[in-house]
Formats: sequence, structure tokens, C-alpha cells
Amino acid sequence: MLAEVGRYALIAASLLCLYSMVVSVVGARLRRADLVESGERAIVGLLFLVVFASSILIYALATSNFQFEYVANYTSTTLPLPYKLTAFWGGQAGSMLFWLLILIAYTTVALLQNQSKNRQLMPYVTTFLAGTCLFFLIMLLFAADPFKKLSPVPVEGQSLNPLLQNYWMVSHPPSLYIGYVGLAVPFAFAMAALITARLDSGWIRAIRKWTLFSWLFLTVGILQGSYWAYIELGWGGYWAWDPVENASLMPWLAATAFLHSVMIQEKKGMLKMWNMILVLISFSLSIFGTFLTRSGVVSSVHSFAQSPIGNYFIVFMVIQIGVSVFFLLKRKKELEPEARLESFISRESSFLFNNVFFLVICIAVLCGTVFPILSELFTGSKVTVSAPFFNKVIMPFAIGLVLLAGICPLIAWRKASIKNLKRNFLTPGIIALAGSAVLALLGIHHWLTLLFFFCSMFVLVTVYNEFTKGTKARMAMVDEGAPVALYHLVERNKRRYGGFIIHTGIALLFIGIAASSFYQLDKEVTVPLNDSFTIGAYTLKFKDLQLLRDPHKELWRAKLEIFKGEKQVGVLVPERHFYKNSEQPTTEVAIRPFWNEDLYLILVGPTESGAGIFKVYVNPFIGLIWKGGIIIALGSLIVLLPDMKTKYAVSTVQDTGGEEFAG
Amino acid sequence: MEDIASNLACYCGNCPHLVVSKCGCSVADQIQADIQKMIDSGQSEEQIIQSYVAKHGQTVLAAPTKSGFNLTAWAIPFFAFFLGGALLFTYLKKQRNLPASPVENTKKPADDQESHYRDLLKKELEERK
Repeated sequence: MLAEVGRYALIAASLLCLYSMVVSVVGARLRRADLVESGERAIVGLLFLVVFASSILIYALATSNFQFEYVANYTSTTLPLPYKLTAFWGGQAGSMLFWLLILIAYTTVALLQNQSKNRQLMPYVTTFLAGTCLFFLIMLLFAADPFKKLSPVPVEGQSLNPLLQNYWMVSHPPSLYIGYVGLAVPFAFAMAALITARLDSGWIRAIRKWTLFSWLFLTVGILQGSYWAYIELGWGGYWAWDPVENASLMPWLAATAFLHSVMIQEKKGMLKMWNMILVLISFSLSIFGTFLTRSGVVSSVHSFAQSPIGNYFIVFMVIQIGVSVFFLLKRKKELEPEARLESFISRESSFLFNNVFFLVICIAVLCGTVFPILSELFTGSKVTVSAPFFNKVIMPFAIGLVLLAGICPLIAWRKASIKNLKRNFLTPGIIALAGSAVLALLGIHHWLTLLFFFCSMFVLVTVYNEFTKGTKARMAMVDEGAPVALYHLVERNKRRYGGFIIHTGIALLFIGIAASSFYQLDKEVTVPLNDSFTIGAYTLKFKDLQLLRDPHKELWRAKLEIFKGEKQVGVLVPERHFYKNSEQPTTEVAIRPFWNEDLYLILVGPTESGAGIFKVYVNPFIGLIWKGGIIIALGSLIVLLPDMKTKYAVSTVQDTGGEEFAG
Repeated sequence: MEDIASNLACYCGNCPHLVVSKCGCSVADQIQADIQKMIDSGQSEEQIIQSYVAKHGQTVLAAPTKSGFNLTAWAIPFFAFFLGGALLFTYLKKQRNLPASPVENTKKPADDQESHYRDLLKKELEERK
């Protein structure tokens, strides 16, 4: 009964979508605000229906209602409640419903935000967002039914994959989805701007914070996924260039390029056509990524089962890209720039150069991800494209990007003079060089590591200079103490300085990647109980090994003491889990982070004689990756903060009717 | 050994296409032991890799070869870079050859970073009044 109700809710939602799309367009063409409003109210109705349908599924999951095939596939009666709930996005159908839920929530917020602005654009924004919702509803009704029933009803479910029974299942998928789905809103605004030919900076200002918001969640989502892989999969690494990982990276790259080039359009009225293209590319990649993950076209550790759902995505992408390109070409004239780029060496041109790098990396990732399909299509033979390809191809461009991040703020808008450039480059260049020299003296001779370090140091010095120069200038003119001046500096210019903080995070992340990739130590040992082994500066003593059982699984737990010289600095407790309803054992990695490196230990298993087989890694500065990520998130939050002054001014105008504001 | 193991893809089916030197599974361990045996018996890196390709097919290579159709995989990113660079260069050149707008001729190129800050501050101070 409940399942049917859920399905009817989705059917009703589809009809509402159609209604909203039609009435919004008609209302816009006939300039009937009442029709447009009706379309918007339909969206609210949609929200209720989708929330209702989602609640039904969530309730079924929580109560282990195995009448629902989805519940039987992804949960079991003994699964802890939090994981029963995360199963909502654990399988194909549920995750599609989750996508839809987030999309309709975003749509509602976008409509609420724009009740009294951008009124010419909104009907079309509604149409495009409702259209995307409709697409997902069609898939839910015909290709991936979360409300499919099972008969006879099984007594027990198949439970959630043990690899997913982990805290990160709670936050990583939602964060990613909020990021992915969020790109639909800028897309809808871009299309609305194209259709209504309102191609000034209005639509860009409307979506700037949306894009940054999605970007933030996409960034954090990707980093969470990497961290999860690091602590769970037990191969000492955090990124495998798996197709699904790549699927999340590609929209991120396009969105980052967009975030940068948008600044030029806002400041100079240039690159209008290019920004349109970037927004379309970002959203298309988001959908394409969703397609890759679900269609089974490429095999991946993440994939849901093979499914005909791929065809639906292909149809949607063809329609979406077709419509976009049609209107893009139609409005070519209106997308001409208001100003011209004056110099080869200017901030504008360096932003464009940055875009080239981002898109080339994106193309490289795309190429590597789909090449196995292409190879089989054109030559009949399968190939593997994995880390060696991606690392080799992408590395030069990644280095170029980090270098650009350091150089770009030093180059003036419009036209930089050579004298200016030389002066600004010299200090960071020398300091970064000196830093790299120190590193070399300390024994780091790998040239690539030194190069990564040089680039990151360049960025860090540049950012430091920006903050100190700005604070000093402020202190000189406004008579404020340093901390207050710094606070006001950032507060008055959140985009600039928030951006610098984000770049700082990126630089640290980069150092973390280089150090942990090129200077990783690893060792496999078989060691009898009470014996020790060494790796790097550490000695590990194997103290204990236990075999434990619980209703779900059998597990081996080892205990090792860590010594640095004579001093004990910690304990590691790695485990190996053998689940009853899964063939693959999982590993609980034991990690002891030190300030400069991680000690990473895996229990492979016991030998017959009771000795322990271990794999141990030392990952230098890998913590910088996660810490850098946190700094990126903080920087993004700073940029996202509303301008308090503007808010106060606006409310003053509203309160006093504008008269008192004349002073 | 490291070189060979980093260029072969582990075929255990579990790990996400990790190279043999990174995948921690028992299959990878066995492969590494076998490679060591082959090295000890005097085989060259090339021979060892070829023997794996002969037994398991092209998919055992962690990255496509740089020949035939596979070359396109390597070429596309660099081609994209040169194309992008060329397009950018042409765009910039075209922009420079456009007649300058009157605004540009009256302003000097921003020589002084500090003046940028001073201008910003002056603007803010005036807003405060």
C-alpha cells in the first residue's frame, strides 16, 4: 500500500512538473504574472510531493519493510539505524530520488530568493529546473523504481555493503550531491538569461553565490571521499583515478574555471560568451558524471549495477546540450564584450590562461576515463587507463596552475608593466627558491617534489605579502591596530581575501600530495608475536592478536606499540573483518598521525603459527591534504558571507522609506 | 622492480585498477614475487612486461601504449593544450588590434600596487562620511 502511494506521489509530481514548465513559459511570453506565480506555486507543490515520497522510502528503510525491493537489497534487520537511513542514497533508485529531493529543494530556495528580483528571468529558471526534475522523475518511474515491490516478501535483507558502513557514508554522498545538483541552478539562470537576452551581469550576480556554494560542497565532498578511501580501502593512498572519482573531478574543474572567469565579466564586462559556455559545460559534466556512475558503462569500485538507465541520461544530455547550443548561437550578438582585452600580460589574460589549464586537465581526465570505451568501440580491444596515465598527463598542467595562482595576483588589471612584474615576482621567487634549497639540503632531491614545493611556496609568499601590504596600508590611512585592520581588510574585500585563503589551502594540499606521493615508505612484514620491526624512524612492537566475533562478522584485531627510539609514542590497533554475507574481507586501517607524517598500518592476517602479516606505510605530510581542504572550506565560507553593511543599508531604506538615507 | 610493478595493473578485480606496486591484495603480492623471480633469472624489464601482456592481454598494462590508436589517448590532452593556447593567443592578438576605447587612452597602466589600495581606502572613507 505504502509503496503504491509513493509511486503515485511521483506520478503526481511529474504532472506538476509539466504544468509548471508550460505555465511558466506561457506566463513569461504573455507577460502574465499570475501564470508565472502559478508555475512557482506548482514547484512548492512538487517539493511537498517529493518530500512525501522520500519520507515513505526513508520510513520503509527505517522499519526494514522488505516489501520494498530497495529496502531488501540494501538493508537488513540487524543493520544499525544510521546505516539503514544512509541506504537512502546507497542504491541506484534511492540515490536518484535523493538527487531529485536536493534539486527540488534548491529550486524552491532559488524561487524564494528571487521573489522580488530577476523577475524577467525567473519563469525560465523555473522551466529549466522543473524540466530537470521531470527527467529524474521519468527515470524514477520507468528505469529505477524505488517503490518496486517484492513478492514473496523476504524475511531478511541483503544489507549494506560493509565498505559503506562507515561514518563517511553519512556525509560524503550528501556533500557531493549538494555540489553536483547545485550546478543546475547556475545553468537554469544562464539559459534564462540567454532566452530573455538579458545578458549583462545580472544573471551572473544572481548565481555567483550559488556556484560558490555548490563548488564548496563539491570540493569538500571530493576530499571527504578521498579521506574515506584513505582510511578504509587500505592501500595507503586516497585517489585512484577511478571513473567515479573522475566523474566528480570534471565538473569541479569546470566550475573552478567558471568561478575565476566570472570575476572578469563582473569587473570588465568581458568574456560573456565564454562564461555561458563554462556554465553549460559544468552542468553537462555534472549530468555526465551522474550518468557515468550509474550506467555501468565503465567499471568502477563505486558503480551501481549495470542498467538501461544510461539511455535516459544520453537522451537528456542530447536535449540539454542541443537546447543550450541553440540559444547560445541565437544570442551571439548580445554576448559581445563591453570592453576589450588590452594586453597579453594582464590579470584578464592570466585568468584566461588559468581557464585553459583547468579545461585541459578536464579534457585529460575525460579522455582517460572514456578511453577504454572508445578503444573497445574502435579497435575491439580493451585497455586499462589508470594512475600512470593520469598522473603523467595532468602533472605539468597542475604545476602550471599552482604557479599561476601565485603569479596572477601580482599582475595588474588591464596591463602590467615589466618593471611592476619584475618587482613583484622577485621577492616571492627568491624566498620560494631559498625554501626549496633548504629542502634540498635536508635531503629532498627529487626534482619534481622540489618543483611542487617551489610553486606552493611562491603562492604562500604571495598571499602573505598581500595580507601584510593590505593591512599596513590600512593601518597607515585609518589609524587602526594590526588585528582590527586585518579584520576590516578581509571583511571589506571578502572575495579577494577569501580567495587568497582558498589558494593557501590549495598550496598546502599540493605540498601534501607531493610529499606523500614521492616520499612514501612502505613495507610488508611477517612478524611473530612480541617481536618488532622498523620503518622510517619508527619501531613497532607486535603485542597482541585476538579473534573476536559478533552477529555480523568475525574479526582479527592486532595491537602494536609504536616507538621512536626508546620512547613510546602511541599504539596502533588494526583489524581485519570477515563479514558473514560478503566474500571480501574488509580492513580497518590503523593510522597514527604525527605532525609531519602518518604511520599507516594494515593487518593482512595471521599466519598458522600465530605470527602477524602487516603492511605498513609512512606518508609524509599527507595531513596537509586534509588540513588544506579545511582551509579551502574556511576561505569559501568567508567569501560566501553576506555583506553586513549592505544588509544594514538595505533594511534602513526599507524601514524609513528611503528619506533618511539621502545623507 | 618498482618500475615494472608500477606499470602493471593488478587484476585481482577488487581494487579500483590500482597498479601492482600499490594494490595490497594477495594477487599483487604474488605478481611481485613472480616479477622478482624473473628479474633474478636475468630477464629484462621489457621481456617481463611483454610476458604479462602475452598471458593477460593489453589490459594488464596500467596505461595504454603510445602506439596505434592508443596514441590518441596521450595526444588529446596535449593537443587540447596547444589548441587552447593558440585560440587564446589569437583572441588576445585580435583584441589588441581593435581600436582603443577613449577610456583606455587617459589612464596609465597600473604601475603601483599601493595606489590600488589607496584608491580603495579613499573610496571607503568617502562612503563613511
